[in-house]
Amino acid sequence: MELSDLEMAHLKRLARLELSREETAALQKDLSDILGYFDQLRGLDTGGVEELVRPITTVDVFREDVIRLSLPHEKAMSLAVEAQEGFFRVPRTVEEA
Amino acid sequence: MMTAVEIGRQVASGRVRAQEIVRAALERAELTQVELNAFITIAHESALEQAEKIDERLAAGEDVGPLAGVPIVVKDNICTEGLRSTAASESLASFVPPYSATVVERLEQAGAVVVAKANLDEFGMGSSNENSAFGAVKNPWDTSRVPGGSSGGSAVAVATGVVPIALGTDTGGSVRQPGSFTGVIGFKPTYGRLSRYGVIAYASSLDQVGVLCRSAEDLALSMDVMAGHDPKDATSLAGVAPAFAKAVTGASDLTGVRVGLIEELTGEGNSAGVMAALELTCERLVQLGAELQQVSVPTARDGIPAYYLVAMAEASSNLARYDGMVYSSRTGEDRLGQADVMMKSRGSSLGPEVRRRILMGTYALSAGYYDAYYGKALKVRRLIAHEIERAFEEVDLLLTPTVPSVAYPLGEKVDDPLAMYLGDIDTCLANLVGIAAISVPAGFTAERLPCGVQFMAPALQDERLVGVTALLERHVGEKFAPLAPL
Repeated sequence: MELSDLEMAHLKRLARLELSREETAALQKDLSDILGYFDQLRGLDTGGVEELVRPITTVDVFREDVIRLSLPHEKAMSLAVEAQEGFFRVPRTVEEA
Repeated sequence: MMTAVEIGRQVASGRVRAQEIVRAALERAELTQVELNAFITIAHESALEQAEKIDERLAAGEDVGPLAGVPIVVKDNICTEGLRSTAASESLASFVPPYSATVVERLEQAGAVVVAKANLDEFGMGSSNENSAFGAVKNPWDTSRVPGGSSGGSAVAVATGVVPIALGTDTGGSVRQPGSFTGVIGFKPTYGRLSRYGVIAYASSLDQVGVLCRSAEDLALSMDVMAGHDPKDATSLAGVAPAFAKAVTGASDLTGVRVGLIEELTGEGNSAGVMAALELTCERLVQLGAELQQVSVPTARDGIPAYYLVAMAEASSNLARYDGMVYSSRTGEDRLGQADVMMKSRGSSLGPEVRRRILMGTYALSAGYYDAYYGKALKVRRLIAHEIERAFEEVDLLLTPTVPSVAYPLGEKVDDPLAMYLGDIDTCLANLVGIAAISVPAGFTAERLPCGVQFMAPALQDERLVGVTALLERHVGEKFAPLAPL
């Protein structure tokens, strides 16, 4: 399984990762090798087998609907990369018309 | 070096002060740090402050708890209030959590004092502790070799006697493998046994907090303190936790206990030293009354690809939060727009192995490939779970090497990710299936390197592993988990 340049570019965008040209090339090789190894699973017959997503079965539990103290707003916001008037400040998401 | 149980007793009885114990641990941490780099933060101030409080409370006649004054080390992907928790990542280099993980809180409530935060592979991604933004950790038995990972710093802290107990996390072997490489006990409980509230997530269907220590008694005490339902963690097991201390005191021999060697993992592919350690343990088990037999887990060797696919897929999702928008670190000017700032922030603050796993996971989950990779891995996971269930119909415990080799030289596998991944072949099964597993010291090889073996027990039967560890410890005596040279 060889990953193409286009696939690498698409993947970087999906994963929101900026990579240098050298690293992209190195990772393209690594990923192809690793995928090649993962392909050993294709030989296993998994017809009719259900996916196992979580190793234990838990049931939904409801807690009492009581108001409890949580982390104070200021304390949580003190970790923000950038904050303004108690809100997170982030770069523009939508372009101006 | 006293055990945690002894320290707790001595401090509670007033024979020694918590401050003396904690000061000695801090000094020893500093001493090892120069050469081994096991710590990201040594918590001088907060540790001494806490120790002082414990001494004051004891002087006032209060009961401080069974871990009174016991110094502990916590892996740096577990949150500690007011104490930087980096996950060994540039992206969290200045992250000071506003609350502590439940496991830390419970240990502290029982009197334990966090003296340092341990180095690790970034976000738990690695098996050699070389993938850290804070530099590699070295093995105290041979400083040219790796200590194992990802809980390498925690293992070294215990092996060198800085502390009797350290917390790690285990997603595919990250507590057991460094335990084996440094000659200490490494325990991964059943999935959900210990709360993960406040633990920085890597792969949520596999992650579990674990304990590194040098005695079964200490393991039991720490588990008794930490286990039990936590309403803040939706995957935390309901119901009463087992009585771990009782599993130690109540263990007499292994008469009637059936131990199964997994055929597929106990032959070719293991080094001679590892095979010798396994044989020695088998002899000891027989002397203790156990019945040994071979069992088959036909897809055992498919565990690695299944495990890595699941882990990488879940990682790509969990680590989406380190985008430089809300917290973590931001690179790039606002005018570039949000998507580009995210790309720059993530590209510059996440390390190479983390980037590799995120890309792989993104690929495995992406349109057109889900069924062939992630979906397939989940089906193989089910096959392995069925096979292990069947094996436990024949035997009570499963036995394998912990790792196919002993600690390898630093740098040997850094540029060969696949070779590094293959080292998890024995350990990843317990995470895929969610069962309890432990690495128990099993002697030293000809080159004076420690080597462990792994026991697995059915889900929820964690205490059986603590029991068998206690018996082996008693059987071997002083040489069970010797202190590493400093």
